[in-house]
Amino acid sequence: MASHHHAGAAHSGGPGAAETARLLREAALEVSRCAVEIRGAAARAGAVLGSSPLARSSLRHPRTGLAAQWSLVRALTSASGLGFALSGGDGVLRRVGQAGELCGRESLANRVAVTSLRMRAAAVLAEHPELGRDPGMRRLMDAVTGDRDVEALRALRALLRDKGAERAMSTVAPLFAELSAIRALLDENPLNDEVGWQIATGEALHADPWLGISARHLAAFDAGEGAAVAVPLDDEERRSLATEGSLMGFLGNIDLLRTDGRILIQDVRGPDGVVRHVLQAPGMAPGKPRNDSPQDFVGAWSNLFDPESPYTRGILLAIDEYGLPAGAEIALVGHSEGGIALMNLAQNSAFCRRFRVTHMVAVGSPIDNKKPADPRTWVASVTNQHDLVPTLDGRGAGSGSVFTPHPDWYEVDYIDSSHEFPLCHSLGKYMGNLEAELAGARRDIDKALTPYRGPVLRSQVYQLKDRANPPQGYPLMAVPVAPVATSAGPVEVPVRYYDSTAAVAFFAVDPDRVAGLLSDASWMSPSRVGRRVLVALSAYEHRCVSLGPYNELSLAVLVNDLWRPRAHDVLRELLRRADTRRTGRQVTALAVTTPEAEAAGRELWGQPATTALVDVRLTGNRLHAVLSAPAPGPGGEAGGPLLSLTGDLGPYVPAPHVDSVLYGRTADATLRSMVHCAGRQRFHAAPRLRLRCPTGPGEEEPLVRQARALGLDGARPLCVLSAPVYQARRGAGAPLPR
Amino acid sequence: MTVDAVRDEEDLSAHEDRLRAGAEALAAAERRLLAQAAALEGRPGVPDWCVPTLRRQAESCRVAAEDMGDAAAVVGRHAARSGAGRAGVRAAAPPGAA
Repeated sequence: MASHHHAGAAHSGGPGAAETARLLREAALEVSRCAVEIRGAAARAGAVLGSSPLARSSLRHPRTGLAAQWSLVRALTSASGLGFALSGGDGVLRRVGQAGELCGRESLANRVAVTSLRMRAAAVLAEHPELGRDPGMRRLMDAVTGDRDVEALRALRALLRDKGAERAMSTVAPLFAELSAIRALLDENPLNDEVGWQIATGEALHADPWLGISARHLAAFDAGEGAAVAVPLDDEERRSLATEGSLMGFLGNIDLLRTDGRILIQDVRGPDGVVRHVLQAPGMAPGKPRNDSPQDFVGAWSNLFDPESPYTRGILLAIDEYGLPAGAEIALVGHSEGGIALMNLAQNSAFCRRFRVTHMVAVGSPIDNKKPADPRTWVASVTNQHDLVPTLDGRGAGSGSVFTPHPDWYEVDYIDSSHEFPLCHSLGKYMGNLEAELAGARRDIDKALTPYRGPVLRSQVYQLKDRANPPQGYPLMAVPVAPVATSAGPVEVPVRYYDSTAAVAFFAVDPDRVAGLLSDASWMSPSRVGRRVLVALSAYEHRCVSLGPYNELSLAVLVNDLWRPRAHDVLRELLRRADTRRTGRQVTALAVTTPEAEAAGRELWGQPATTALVDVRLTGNRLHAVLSAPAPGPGGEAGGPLLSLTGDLGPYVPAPHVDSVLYGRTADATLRSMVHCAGRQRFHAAPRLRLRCPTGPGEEEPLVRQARALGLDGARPLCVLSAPVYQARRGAGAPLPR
Repeated sequence: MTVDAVRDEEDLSAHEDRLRAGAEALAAAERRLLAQAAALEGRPGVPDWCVPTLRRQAESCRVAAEDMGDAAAVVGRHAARSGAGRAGVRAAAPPGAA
């Protein structure tokens, strides 16, 4: 198959410009080969100079040996010959060569390679003289080819200042690869020389061309085993999805998916009645790298150099989940990073043994260094010469068809009138070009995609991630659950609180007042701290619970061991595990906002729960916990507050979460339930909260009545434990014979 | 780039051969660069710097080829001398000596 090259707009170089460009590119290729030969000859001479046999024999016969070594040093450092060509050697010689480069010494091989790159740049300028007429671009070219780094930096800064970043980038884009390689070969950094050579000779890049950082190190930032989750499209997106297979339809679908980490797999029935599959992958999202999605800048770099990445692994998982049959015919269509990731799949021989990759269409993707494993795969690559992204593989406009390693690809490398980058990299812009200026190319690609041009039978979108996420609430909630019947319906036990806010305020109360609350269990002794008894008022906002969301306010008395109470039990047992702890909190009043929570409170845990209006909010460091009376009337909205605990929580220190033991009472037993929790907790030693129980209606509410009876109206808590984000699980109460 | 390793047991005369091959490669590069310069000379649109640069670099290749050839000759002489030295040592040793 012949190589196809289209231009979106006629070359502005006039007649003969294309011929000159071709000549220059062919000459550049030949000159780059000469450079490789020169480099090889210098490297071999360096290897002889550094060889042990020559060194040993020189010790035995110093007169001829030293003369031989000196003649080699002279050959490898002659300014009129090989230049400073010691870096091609090994060991100490290589270090000497690199030191020479740091001091600005150049080798003939590097100079010849630079000439080849300048000829490639000249080929682009012959076709597009408007680039050379641009004074900023000319200044940059002169500075880079003249090895004047500071001047090059100034020229780039001037370009950015005069044109703005977007236009400057697109101005540089057609010559980006050549300029990068020239700079790499001429600058004083020996680490990036190899990349300069790779670009000059049309090889695959293994490092970045500016600093010479290895691709392996860059790809290490893109960690993750990859994950794919089937997700639905929203109604608007579903309506906009193409119903017939075509190039513009597939690209439109990719545009629809945006760059939030989603890919699309479709089944299409071809004109021959065979059902085939199309995998469509968008490019990277602009901005900072994201840890949750492989579609970001780091992912794009990783895909460029490394065929194995979270993106490709995620796509493979999506294909498995989709249930693509072995041997199925599949077309891969991608934009930008999506094109690179799909090309990585196409060059994976195991993937090509499993499926028959018939077509690969990449738009705005740097894929020139890649090659499908199946030689039958038809490949089309569409690139705008002002788009910087496709040049990242080191094959810019200057390499043209002469350096292309894929003569059988269908390549569309064009220049359009709008030069703004990154606008010209957007899929919408590419689609606009294919619709208007590149109509011929669009028709050609559509013709090649004929087996996929039919009705779409099935579409499934997958959300790709760098890593699979653990189940919600893992590991705290990873426990077996069983349904338990309650008057409000079955409840899964343990009850799981996935997302809650909690605040527990501790008050010191007169023991005589507490005795009244525990009168039905006279053997239950409250825990004392000094002469006082501790009472806890707990406020919870449960946003995500297996019972359904609800709010809660509860009053509890801290109690000692039910059988062998000892003074200060509560302090002694503070750090003991909940399942071996004998102390706990006897819940004496509980107000919740849903009937389900009330039923669970009464029937699972033996707590005197009532349904009420409870508002709990922890915003910043401020707690707002209010129990309200229902407003008169059918709406049931909140009326005036019956009890409120509001105010600033004050300074805090981080504290470990301590699991809780809660006691409740049934007619003939005490129910002991454990609350296992996770999340960060804060200990506020000097809270500026105040509990208030305004007088008025609602005094029959047990929580309010008890708070008043304990003398808490107007009281400040001793301390508060708060947890803005709190997870917990609570099992059913275990009956104790007391 | 990778270069064929020079083995320790490699004879010095092999070094001479390597260097001669390098000199030939450099001479060939000179010819190829001159051919490109000739192909581009007088063509409209070819930048002014192109042909003189290619010629200048071809000249450098010529000088480098000569330097390499000279180095090969000197290494060859040294190889001959050290080879003769080793033969002399072997000849002077009594029969049966290690």
